[in-house]
Amino acid sequence: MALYVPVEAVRYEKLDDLSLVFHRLSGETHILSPEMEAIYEAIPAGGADAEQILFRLEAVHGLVEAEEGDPASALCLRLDQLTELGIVRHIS
Amino acid sequence: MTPSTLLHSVLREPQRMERLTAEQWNALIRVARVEMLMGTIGMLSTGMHVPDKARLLLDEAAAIASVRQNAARYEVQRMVEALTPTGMPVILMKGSAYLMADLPPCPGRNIGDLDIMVPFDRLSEAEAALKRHGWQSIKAKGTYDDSYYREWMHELPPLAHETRGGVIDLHHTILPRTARLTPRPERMLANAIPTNCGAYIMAPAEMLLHSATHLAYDGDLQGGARNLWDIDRLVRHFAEQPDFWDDLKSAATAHELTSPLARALRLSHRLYGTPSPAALRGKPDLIDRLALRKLRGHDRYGAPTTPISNFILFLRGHWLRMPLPMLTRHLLTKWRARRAEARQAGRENDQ
Amino acid sequence: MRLRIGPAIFDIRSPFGGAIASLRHLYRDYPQGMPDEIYDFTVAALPTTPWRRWFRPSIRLQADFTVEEAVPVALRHALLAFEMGVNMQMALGYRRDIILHAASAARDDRAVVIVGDSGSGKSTLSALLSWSAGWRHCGDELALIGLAGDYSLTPYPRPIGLKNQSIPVMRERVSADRFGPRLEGTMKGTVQHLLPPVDAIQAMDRPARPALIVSPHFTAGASPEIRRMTQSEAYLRLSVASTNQLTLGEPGFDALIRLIRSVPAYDITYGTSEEGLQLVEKLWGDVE
Repeated sequence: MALYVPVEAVRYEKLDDLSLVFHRLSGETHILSPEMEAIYEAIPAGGADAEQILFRLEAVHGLVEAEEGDPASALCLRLDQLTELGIVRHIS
Repeated sequence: MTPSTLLHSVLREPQRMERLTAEQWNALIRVARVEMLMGTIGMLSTGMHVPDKARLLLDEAAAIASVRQNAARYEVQRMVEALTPTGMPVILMKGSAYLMADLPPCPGRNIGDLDIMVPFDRLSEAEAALKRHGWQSIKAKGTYDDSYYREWMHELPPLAHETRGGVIDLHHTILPRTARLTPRPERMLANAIPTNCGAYIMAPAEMLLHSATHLAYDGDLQGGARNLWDIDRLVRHFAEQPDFWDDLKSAATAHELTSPLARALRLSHRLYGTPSPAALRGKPDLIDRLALRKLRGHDRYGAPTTPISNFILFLRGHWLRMPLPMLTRHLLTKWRARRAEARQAGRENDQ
Repeated sequence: MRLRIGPAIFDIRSPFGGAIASLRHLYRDYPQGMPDEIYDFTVAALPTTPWRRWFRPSIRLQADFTVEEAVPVALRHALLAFEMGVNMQMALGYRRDIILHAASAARDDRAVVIVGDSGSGKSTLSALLSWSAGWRHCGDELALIGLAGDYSLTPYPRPIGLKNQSIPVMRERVSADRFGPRLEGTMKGTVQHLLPPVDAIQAMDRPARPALIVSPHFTAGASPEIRRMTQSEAYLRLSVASTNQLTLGEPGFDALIRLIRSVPAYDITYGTSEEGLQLVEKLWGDVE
């Protein structure tokens, strides 16, 4: 099962509207939209697969709906974007 | 003592920094900045008593180097992620190798572009994999520079990451195809040593040979003081291993690189007192004298004081890499490009 | 010559004696000399080619920190070349503080930071604050924000670079001897430097604590308007305005976050200089 794990070397700061992730190694700052923020916060420190993350999201925010397609694949897309930014790792 | 030799002596004997006048500090800082060694002497000065202002400037440079090193580590990580699925071996070269293997040239060293080497027959596969992960060629295809790279060089046109801007130089060997000497990259790949990050570094003898070759061939000894400092640190470190000098000798013979190695050892011996067997160093020649003049020729503002030696070295740097008719073509193209730029700038300026 | 502006000492040289003389005169109120000190940066204005010293003279910069694509500048614009060189050293080589492309002014050692692109009106606003409203000028182009806990602002009060229509606005208010020579036909049009009040230069070692951030939008005829920025907007504006954020690493991120969490930021739009001043004073009244 593929796990998504938050990278440890980051600083996560919530501002009044959006939140920021500062990546210590690269020195880059990433801005998370409320949607990305919710997903990022739903990933436990020890990592989880997409299904578990979806479950956690629904526990906090109620039923998750995607604009098109099923929520699970929409979520995977977002998780891959977080991985591409380097703030989440994808372990197979 | 010239401002440049002041820098060399501080590198050899950092304690000297405790006894410098303000005037010497000013000259030292200029030359160290020009030679990209300010972060290095910043790290060497740790714990020493130096004037407050010097402390501020040294710490500033060391801190910039450390931030850049972190960014370089990250670029290595992302590059490895991109190339791992191909299964090909990737060798880190120069700065990033020292960084990921934590070798002695590293503290305070400025690490810029990421240089890597892959097997020649997998070059396009590597390029394609990097392009899938956001790296793009920064020289437009079809221009003089692009075809020049692809036809004659030991590396592809630089690849820059579209969002982070980090640059990768993708090599398949350590010298241009036009150079007179032809080292054996397959031997370097076979001897390479794995590191924790998933990429390889060269074996000690070959890492040193690469550094020496780079110094002797790449351009005109620009940044020579730094490259020689790398060599000094590597030699002193590797020489602690019992068979190092024998390995180095046979590696140099196998790669046909005995003469660039000898020159690098001679020059670093003159600059930093780097120990090495006299037989490997060989005899000094005219090029050594020009090189030393250039290495020692900065004024107290860091500007070069030896334009003629520098120009001869510049020609030689190109001559070593290219047969004469190609050199003429290359220099002409460069000269025309530069002249066109100057004209353009002149026009804007006169408006 | 050696010259100190705020925290940095510059060693400045040129074979063009006239250029150095006009620089000495423009910076007459600033500390000069200091032969026995360790200086921060060197900046030289040299002829682009040897014959350009005499024939259609034009200059190139040689400095500790330079960019490759630097454009040569005509000798008659030497003051701008020095200014460019000095700013470049700060932008590329200085990392003791966060450097923001911003103007700043202080009252009772509390500061307003004015961020905005070139042409947004920040130089004019800072000139008006110091010459018409009694504020202490802390800089019109670069604001230095400390990395330590109180994100204090270190003044960097260079002469104010007035452009085009803002020149007559200030000529009406300030005596002619505080102005540098009029530089026509530069890349930014006509430029003329305005020396800050002597008091501001003498107080350049006294830090101030940021209490207000404004981003001015001067548009002729616009009616005055104030809009509060969200924290992430303020963060974005400031990090884009910073020249050295990337080399500062985590301490830079920290300081910027602390700054935008504690100091309110506003967009202000106005159609006349007086309105701009009034808006700043009004917001200042609120934060006091």
